[in-house]
Amino acid sequence: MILPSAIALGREFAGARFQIAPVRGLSVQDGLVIGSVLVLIACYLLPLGAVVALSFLVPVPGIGNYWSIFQNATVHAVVGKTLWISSLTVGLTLLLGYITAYALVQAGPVARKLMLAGVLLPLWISVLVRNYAWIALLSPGGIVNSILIRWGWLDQPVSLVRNSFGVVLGMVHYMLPYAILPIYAQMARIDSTLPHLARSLGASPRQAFIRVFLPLSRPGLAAAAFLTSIMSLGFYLTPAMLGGGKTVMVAEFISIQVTETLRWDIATTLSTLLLLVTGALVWRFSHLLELATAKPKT
Amino acid sequence: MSDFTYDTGYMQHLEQSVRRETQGKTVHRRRFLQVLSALGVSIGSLSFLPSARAQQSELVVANWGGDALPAQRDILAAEFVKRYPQIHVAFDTTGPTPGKIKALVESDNVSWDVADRNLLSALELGRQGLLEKVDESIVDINAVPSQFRTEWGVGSYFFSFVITYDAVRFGSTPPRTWKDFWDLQTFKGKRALRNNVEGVLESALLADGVAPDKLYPLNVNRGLDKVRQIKAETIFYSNTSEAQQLLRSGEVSIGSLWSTRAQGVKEDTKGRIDYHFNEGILLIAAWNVLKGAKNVKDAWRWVALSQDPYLQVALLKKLGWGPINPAANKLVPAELQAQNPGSPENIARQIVVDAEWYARNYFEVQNRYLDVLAA
Repeated sequence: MILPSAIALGREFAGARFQIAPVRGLSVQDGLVIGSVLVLIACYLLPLGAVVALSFLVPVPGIGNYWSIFQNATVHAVVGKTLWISSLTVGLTLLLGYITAYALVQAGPVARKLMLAGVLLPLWISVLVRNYAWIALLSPGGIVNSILIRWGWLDQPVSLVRNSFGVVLGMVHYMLPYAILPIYAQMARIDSTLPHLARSLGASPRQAFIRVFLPLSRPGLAAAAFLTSIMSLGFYLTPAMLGGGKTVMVAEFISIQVTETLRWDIATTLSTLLLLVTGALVWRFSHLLELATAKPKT
Repeated sequence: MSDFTYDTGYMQHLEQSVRRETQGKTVHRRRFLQVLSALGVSIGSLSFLPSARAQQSELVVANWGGDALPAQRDILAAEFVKRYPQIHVAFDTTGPTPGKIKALVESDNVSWDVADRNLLSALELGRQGLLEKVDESIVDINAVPSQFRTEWGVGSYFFSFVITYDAVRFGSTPPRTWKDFWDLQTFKGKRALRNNVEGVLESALLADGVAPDKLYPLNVNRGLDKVRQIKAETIFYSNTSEAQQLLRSGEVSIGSLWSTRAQGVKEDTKGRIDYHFNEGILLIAAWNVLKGAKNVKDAWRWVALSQDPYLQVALLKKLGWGPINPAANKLVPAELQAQNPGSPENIARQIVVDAEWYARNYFEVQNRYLDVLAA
């Protein structure tokens, strides 16, 4: 008795409020798609468009902001720092990710499951929590320094966070799963007999790896490089928290221009340029991701 | 359908909080709409957020949260509601940064009325047309000395950047001056400075031997060079609770902190972290009323109320806000004078920040400071 009337009420409510009920020619699915597209436009594309538009409009209309940003020494320093930290991060992440992925492929099924869990677990922990954990571990009074001093390996605590080292460490830790997974996916697809065949044809283990395995795993490596580069460029929280105020990267610089110095001309121009750069990377390299997930050719 | 009711009060509440939460994001709406209309796009459909508040008789006070919220609520808001029972006082503790104020005013959706900021902000933002001019029919501007007020704001309390240090570590020879702060040989350990240039240049120039009365106009190059000297050993914090934590954990041995927060960390650590007002950099807080606020009149009433000597003393007790109204100073109990940044003895030991200099130079100098930090 209650259930049918509740359903009827629900249907009436839904129909009246949200227009999900089938309209002639439109299915519920169509409605959901249109709805999410509208949400995307309203919450994402319009504000983004506003940012781009502002970069051409304030303080005076024209492309003056772009001209002056290329001559702005502070912007040069910040962009330089961002590129330097990002390349370090991407390089280290790829190296560590490649080794881990290789170990994953070689591992037995049980070990592999445990290792994959170890890779995926950090993904569910907020980056904020992870940053605080790094601070607790690595600050001068932290666990690592205390142990090293107690063991007599150090006289003075060393600074492992609140500097560029801390930033790179925190960022590499964050990026690792995004590198390991595509590389692993690609490696798992490599016919494991190929390096053995190379060996049987007289290649040294090193040659078999460099001439056979590495080229075959390259698409995964490229996809990982693409993903981590894009994420590094816009990183905000980790540099702000682990950098001790001295590692100012583009995202934090933009936020300061928006909230503190009110230089929205600089902020929007830099945002637009960042958008362009990442957009160009996506446009140029997005096929790598498809490649990495595509079925192997037989 | 007739027996289906929903709680309109709750919906309103929801709507209000959504609006409050999205303020930061609705930023440049007016500009954006101008752009769209210039491009010939119809904009009628774009006002997806209701523009006016439900209650006209609400005063929205924007502050920085933390300890400030309960104190302002129990001392200022309680008294305000007593005097004007028809007005409801609401707080927004997300932090009234210049960016948010500009965003609210330019989007024509000014949902804050009055913001807890300072005198130099009153000048900076006032000159950009983002603030209301002081309504002298409500606020008695003569309640504060003339150097502590501007066209767009009247000083509400004193606070200062003070040398805050690890008292256990330094024992009987604590750092007394900014010279000591910069002396990494005698006073071992890391330093903490704010990543905002306000007050930092003064400290640096005093450390470099500039006489206190010759500080202004600030020699920016010289000050930044001095900052470079200790940059490697300094952590530049963005919010003060971070600096408190750095001192508490021993990561930093000396920091430049707001006196209000230095007092807090002193109490937390039972005196292990201590501070003094010697060479303190004295700042003047001021309520800023946003241009086009929904409730300008009540906002100025709030400002007038905050000048009440008795409330100023109560806020000193609770938050360490130094009374700026000379009438309040006579009411301060003797045991509180030591932690009063505005007591005659403490003022005599400090440097008063020149708001006018910052109003003219802040934007440029802040970016040059960032330049030094990021290099």
